[in-house]
Amino acid sequence: MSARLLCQLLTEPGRARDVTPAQWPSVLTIAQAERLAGSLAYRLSGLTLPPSVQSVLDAARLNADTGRVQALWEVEMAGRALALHSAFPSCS
Amino acid sequence: MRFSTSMRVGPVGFRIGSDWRAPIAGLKRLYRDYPKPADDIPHFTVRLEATHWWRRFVRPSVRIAGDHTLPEALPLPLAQGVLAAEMAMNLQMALGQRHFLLVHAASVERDGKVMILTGESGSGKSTLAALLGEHGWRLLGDEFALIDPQTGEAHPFPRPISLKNASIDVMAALAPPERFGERINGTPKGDIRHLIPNAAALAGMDKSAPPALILFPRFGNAADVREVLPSEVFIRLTQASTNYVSLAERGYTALTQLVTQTPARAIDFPDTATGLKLVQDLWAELA
Repeated sequence: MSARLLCQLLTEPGRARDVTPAQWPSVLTIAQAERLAGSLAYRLSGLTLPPSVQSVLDAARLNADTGRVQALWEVEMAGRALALHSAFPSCS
Repeated sequence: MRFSTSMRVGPVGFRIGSDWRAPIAGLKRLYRDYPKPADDIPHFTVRLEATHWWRRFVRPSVRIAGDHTLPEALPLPLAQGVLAAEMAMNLQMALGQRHFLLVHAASVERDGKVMILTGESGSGKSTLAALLGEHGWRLLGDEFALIDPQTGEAHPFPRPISLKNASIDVMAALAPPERFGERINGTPKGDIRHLIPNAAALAGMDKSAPPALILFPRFGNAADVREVLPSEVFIRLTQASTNYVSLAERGYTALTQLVTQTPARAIDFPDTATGLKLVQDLWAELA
């Protein structure tokens, strides 16, 4: 429905001030469905938004932050396992 | 979607769309006294969809969709459409809520302090909370206690109470018929009927309060009270929380604060009258 609007917001965040209350629910739902809510939250950060929109985007940002920490932890663990493996090749 | 409605429950706005009229009509009845989402912009969107276009008509079957979904969720028959919507709304909270630590628990308030009742399905927490809500306590909710990580306070989430089996008749004796939804028979949890929280609960849906007592009720045994150590409370609440892990450090800090500052008891009760008395005695002693 408003995938175009979501794309516009991601490329030109300033357009957020022109989004009407009737359009926001679709934008947010499509962003969730496309796994772009975190990206949208980062792109729109610092802009004045309706409180409900801000709340949804804050949650998306917290979610993205947690995902990032978890991904980095995975990488760290993989790194440690590989380092152990190269130091002791007989270890598997 | 063809049919839709929206409502605000405590701090959370929902929008529900459906391929059928009936579930939306049922929801509009249950949520008739609830406000609309702030700015008319919901936090979560839920959709009740036909599994195939022709299943709108032939053996209609409701698939739950929305902002946050579980891939393995099974569709429900259309007769249980309201239940499907309730489950879908719970799922949005369980998977998508990041502002509060969510504990699968009922909660009630008295004298500006909150009692949290947690336990597995069938433990009697919903029934006790519904009873207390009709006995001078303010019902905060029967499904999720929302703990604010910044203040430690419990926020109301007063959804219609999902009464099951025998508790339907217990509450029918206490609340007028217009506060009940349609009876839904043959669900995976037996028969279900929703009870709309009373006017005090709905009027207070924006008023948070600090927790003062955590109870682990268990229905079906001789009356008993047991102290629960903070270590056990902590472990049991991590299991009862749907977003403890995803809140990471904020979740740990919020839960540690809750557990170390709030006394906890496990109670057994053979019937609702005994349960009510135990709860009220403990409240007078500890809160």
